[in-house]
Amino acid sequence: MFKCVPCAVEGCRRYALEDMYTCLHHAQNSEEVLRSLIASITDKHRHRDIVMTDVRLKDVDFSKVYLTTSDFARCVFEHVDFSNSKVQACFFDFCLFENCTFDGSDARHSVVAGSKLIGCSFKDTLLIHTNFMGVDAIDCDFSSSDLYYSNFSSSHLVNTKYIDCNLKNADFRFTDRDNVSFKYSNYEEASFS
Amino acid sequence: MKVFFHFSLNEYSNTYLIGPEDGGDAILIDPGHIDIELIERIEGNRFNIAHVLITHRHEAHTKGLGTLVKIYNPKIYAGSPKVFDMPVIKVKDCSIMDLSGITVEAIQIPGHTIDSFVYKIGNALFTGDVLYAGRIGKTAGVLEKALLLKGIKKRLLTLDERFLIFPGHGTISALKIEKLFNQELIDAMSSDDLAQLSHPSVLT
Repeated sequence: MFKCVPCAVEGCRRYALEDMYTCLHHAQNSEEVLRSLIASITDKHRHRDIVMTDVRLKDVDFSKVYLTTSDFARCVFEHVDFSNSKVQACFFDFCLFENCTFDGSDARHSVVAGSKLIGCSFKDTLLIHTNFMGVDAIDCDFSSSDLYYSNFSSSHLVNTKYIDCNLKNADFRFTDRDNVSFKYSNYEEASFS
Repeated sequence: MKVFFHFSLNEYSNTYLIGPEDGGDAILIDPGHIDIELIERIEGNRFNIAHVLITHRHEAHTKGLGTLVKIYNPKIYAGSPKVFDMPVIKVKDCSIMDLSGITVEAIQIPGHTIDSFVYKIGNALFTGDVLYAGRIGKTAGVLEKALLLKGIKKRLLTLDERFLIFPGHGTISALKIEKLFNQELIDAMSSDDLAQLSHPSVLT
């Protein structure tokens, strides 16, 4: 698990990067550090315990990456491709995902709670035990995904599709839903109240 | 420190394996069910299960204990004096234990059961059935619920909201997420449930 060592800069509430004293924002030459972090993540090897919070990423190819127990809280992801990746037990809480794809990925046990998802695709994705509490999902597609024991409680879902999904034990209590489709899914095995 | 998450089909409960980076003595929290996948994970990381922490005595969290004792013979820590007639080290509220170099703080929060404990390890809270993602523990009655809420309010919600939550069932979470989006908790905290604590039977 990532270590949650506070950034050494007084007053900063972010966590320090792995093997560093400061967070990315307070690192010397932070752009270079970010580039090297992205390069190491995308080298197709398995990585764990990466801390990369409060970062804005656009048009980055994270397809087929393999990450576990890493922290990406409060990041902004625009057109980021996570397809066919493994991002297991990772924290993506309070992020903004715009036009990102997770198609064919394995994001089990991850936390996406409090995030805003706009135009994102999670088709054919393993989202077992994934925490989506309090998300705003607009124009998203979760079709053909395994959402066993996932949690969407207190979320706001608009124009979002859950077609042909496994929804056993999925939690949709306290959600606002506008034009949400559960066609061909076992929604009777999910909790709605 | 490594933390592994193991999902058991036995009442859909979660088991957690915590051990040092390079193998050695490790902690298992809530052995609801021991299967080959978990054993392979323990052995693959060269762990020896030296300590088992029980969050509460329900079978969904303890049923694999017999198998585990036969293989590893760990010390068992729980809020009850016995689990399945096995001797245990009785955990006390606020006690801080050094389990093979891993510091564990025990926080007693009764309500779901009288012996319910939350274990604090590093930046993680292993909450058992006290608090889950989006839910609070089930209770037998109004007074038990009031006790549970009082414990959550005083002992958990006062902690740094960046604490991660590893519950006995369901998805992992964080304290900030529960404060903002756990509607069951939010509703209960704003209702009259806490007022039940003035009842004499809770005070004795």
